[in-house]
Amino acid sequence: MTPDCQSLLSRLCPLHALLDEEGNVVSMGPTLAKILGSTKSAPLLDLFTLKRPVGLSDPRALLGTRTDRLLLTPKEFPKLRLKGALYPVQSGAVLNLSFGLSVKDAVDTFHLTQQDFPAADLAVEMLYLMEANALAMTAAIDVTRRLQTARQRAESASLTDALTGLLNRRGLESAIADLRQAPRPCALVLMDLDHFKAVNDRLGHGAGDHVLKHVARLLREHTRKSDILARCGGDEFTLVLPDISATDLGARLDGLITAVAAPISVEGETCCIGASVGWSLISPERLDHFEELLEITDKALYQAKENGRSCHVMSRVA
Amino acid sequence: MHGLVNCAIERFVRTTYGDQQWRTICAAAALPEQRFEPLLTYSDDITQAIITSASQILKRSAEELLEDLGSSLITGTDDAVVATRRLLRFSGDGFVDFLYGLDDLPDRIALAVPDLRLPELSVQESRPDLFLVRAGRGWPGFLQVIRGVLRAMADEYGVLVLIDLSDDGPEIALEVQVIEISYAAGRAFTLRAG
Repeated sequence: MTPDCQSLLSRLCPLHALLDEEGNVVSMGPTLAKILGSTKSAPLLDLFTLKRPVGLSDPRALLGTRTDRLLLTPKEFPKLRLKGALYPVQSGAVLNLSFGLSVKDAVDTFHLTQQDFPAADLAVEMLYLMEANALAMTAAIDVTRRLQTARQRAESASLTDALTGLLNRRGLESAIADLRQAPRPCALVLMDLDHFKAVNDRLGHGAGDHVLKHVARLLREHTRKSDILARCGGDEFTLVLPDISATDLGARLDGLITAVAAPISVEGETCCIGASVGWSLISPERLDHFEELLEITDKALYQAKENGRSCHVMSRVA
Repeated sequence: MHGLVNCAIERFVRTTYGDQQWRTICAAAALPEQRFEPLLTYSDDITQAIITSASQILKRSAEELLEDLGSSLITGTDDAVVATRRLLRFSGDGFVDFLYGLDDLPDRIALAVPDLRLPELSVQESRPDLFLVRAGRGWPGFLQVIRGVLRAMADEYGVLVLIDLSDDGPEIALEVQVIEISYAAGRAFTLRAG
């Protein structure tokens, strides 16, 4: 190769090595020299580990044919994976290398500059893109994180159960607080679903959610618009119905329990649940002791379950 | 307008004139919110309203403000500024390279943020030391921002330049005259991040 030719090669392919017939590196481009830290002539396999093709120990086997799919790592920097293409020339071969995806590692390790890449090379654009991409990703993650925080705050401030649209525990507490402002006689109803866990276990949580929505719909159908309906976690519902007689409520609960017990079809499957209810009638002045009333009514609910489920039991509150 | 542009204006006003002035400007522009999401798109009217109201409240012409906005994108030690400066330095090895690279700048920016489309920029060399920069339509005042960017990038490369607005021709253009190519040391740039 003439000196002219070799200097042109160095400028076009600064990451090349010139091999002689024995597979020795006899000269190399300036960027490769920077990486290897020496331009001394040496056998190719002293400088590099050949990762592809696998199991080749004599580089002379490579020299005869054009090969595009070489993968080499410098002995000194095994992290750097260089892609290589070999072109046989008179009395040897030209091995041209590329950083491939290791370009960022290479720049970081060897402090490469624009001049270390050929003028028409895309490496600098690639580095730009990697850096820009990292920044854009940071911005996107930042936005997502802020949205998530906002969502969590909104959820914890919410009074509604997102699944059923009924009130949640906070919503119930706030509705009771409102009721205390203008006390009226009311009924407190606690309802648990029977065999609900079996639906979740057998058909999955999606089916469970479907059932809960269905029950919420039945609750709305069997109560009045002004009644307070809440789901306080899992399959436990709490209802507060102002100004209602025991007879009216009893009839509504009978209807509700019958409706809940009807088979529900979910995703082609049929499931059967039931509802056990405990309830009490409370006078306006006892609204201040709501927690206590809950405990008493919960005993009635327990009694309903003891009685064989799918029924309602009234508790005797003074 | 892309949220990043509104964010840039917000950051510029807050760091240069303070949070109180920003709140006053937002109130005067009747903005529903005082902060922008960088990855959302907003109505162009909002951007225009901020610029108009900033100009009134800060008692500076919109042209001056936009030019300062341009240089504020590059000048300073804030993380965001350092990042932008680095990304722009990928455009060219020297200031003249950077000028030639302006043609590519909108594409280069779209590569980083695909929905952020800047108006076209064209660069014409009328003498080896005199360049004309023109901008496509779409963003009123865009050329003023570019003027600020060029002023700051010249500092960045350590080059002494004169930038004037010329409106001799059918459209306005920036006249960039390179007075001295190695006037100051300039800031070092490596491909290596951080």
